[in-house]
Amino acid sequence: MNAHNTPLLAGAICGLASLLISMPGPCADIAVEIRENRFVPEVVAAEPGDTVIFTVGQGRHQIEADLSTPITGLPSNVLETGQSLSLTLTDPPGEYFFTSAGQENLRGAITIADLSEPNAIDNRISSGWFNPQAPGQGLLFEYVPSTNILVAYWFTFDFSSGEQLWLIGTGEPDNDQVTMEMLSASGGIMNNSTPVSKPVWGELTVNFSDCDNATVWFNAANAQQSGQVDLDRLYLSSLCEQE
Amino acid sequence: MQVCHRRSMTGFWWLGLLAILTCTTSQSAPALQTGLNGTWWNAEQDGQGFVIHVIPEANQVFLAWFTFAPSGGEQLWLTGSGTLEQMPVELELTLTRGGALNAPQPATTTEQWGTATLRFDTCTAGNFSFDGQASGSIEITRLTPVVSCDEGTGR
Repeated sequence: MNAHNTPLLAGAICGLASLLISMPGPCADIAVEIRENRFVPEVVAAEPGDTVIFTVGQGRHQIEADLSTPITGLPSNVLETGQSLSLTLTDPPGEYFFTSAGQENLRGAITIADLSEPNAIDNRISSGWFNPQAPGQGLLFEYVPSTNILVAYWFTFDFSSGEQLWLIGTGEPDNDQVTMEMLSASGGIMNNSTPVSKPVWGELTVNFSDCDNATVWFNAANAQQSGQVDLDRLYLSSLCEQE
Repeated sequence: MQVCHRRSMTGFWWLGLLAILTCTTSQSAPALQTGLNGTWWNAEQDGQGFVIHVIPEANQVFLAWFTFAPSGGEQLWLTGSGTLEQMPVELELTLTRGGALNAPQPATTTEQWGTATLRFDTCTAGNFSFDGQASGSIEITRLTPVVSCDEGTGR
C-alpha cells in the first residue's frame, strides 16, 4: 500500500479528533532525516493524523516497518538521496518500529499518542502484569499521583544470554499511554551501598486499553531488538471496581 | 499511639521494665493493607530495591527484589511470596532463570533461593531480613509517597 493513498482518511481522523477531543492544534508535519547509518530523530512523537516526512540525506533507502508492528503506508519505494516519503499516520495509538530494508542497524520508532478519553492510568493500574505467552517474567507498574508519574519495573531476561535482566523506567502519562526511557542498573552488590551505574537500555511505550489489559512496545537500541508484549493484569483486580 | 503507664513500685521494678518492654513491642504496626503497596528501598543503597504488593483477595504478599548478585556485578531479581496471616510476613524467595525476553521458549525454571521476613513498623518504614544463598537485614523505607495507608491498626 502506498502512503499517499491515506492522507484524506487521516485528515478526516485528524479533523474529527480536533472536534471531539479538543486536540491541541492541527495535524503536524514531522521531518525525519535518513542518514547513512541512522534516522534523525530516532524516535518520533506523533499524534494520530500527523504526517511524518522521511527525507533521504545520504544513500538509498527503502523504509519498512518492523514485522512486529506493521505501519499502514509502509514499505516505501526505494528512495534516492534527496527524495522524500510523506507518511500520514492512520494506525491506532501505540509505538511502531521501522527500519531501512537490509540495514538492521538503522532503526527508528514512531509513537502515536492516545487521544481517547483517558480511562486507565491511575492507582488502579498499580499491580503485577504479565504476558501469559511468556510466563516466569513480567512487569510491575506503580502510578504516583502526587507527581503524575508512572513507574515501570520489568523483571525479565536478556535476549540471548538468558541471564536475568531487570529494568526501571518512569514517564508521564499521556491519556492511556506512557513512553519512558528504560534504565538497566549495573555494577551493584546485594545489600551494599556500592554505587550503581544506570545506563539507558532503550525505550518502552505502554498503552492501557482498560484496567486489565495493556500493550507494551519496547525498543532496545543497543541490542537492536524491538517488539510488542500483550499484558494481562495478574492480581488486585478489586482495584478496578473502585470508581 | 499507645500511652503506657510505668509502674513505680520499687519492689516490682521488673514489672515496670516488663510494662515498658510490652508497650514497646505492642506499639501497633500498620495492618497489612494495599496502602503499603509500592516501591521500597534503603536510601543508602541507591540502584536496588523492592516492589511490594499486598493482595488481600489472594491472602498474599508478593514482593520483587531488584538487586545484584551477592558477589557483585550481575543483576539479580528474586520474587517472594507469603501469606497475610502474620506480621512479620514470612516469605519464600524464588530465583527464576533460563528465560528469554518476552519469549515463551526457553521455558523458565524456578528454585528456592531462600526465605525472608518482611516487617512493617509504620506505613513508611520496615525491615526485610533474608537468609538463603546470602543473608542479611535491610532497613527499608517507602520511596514513593503514601497514597492512603492507615497507621497502627495492625498487630
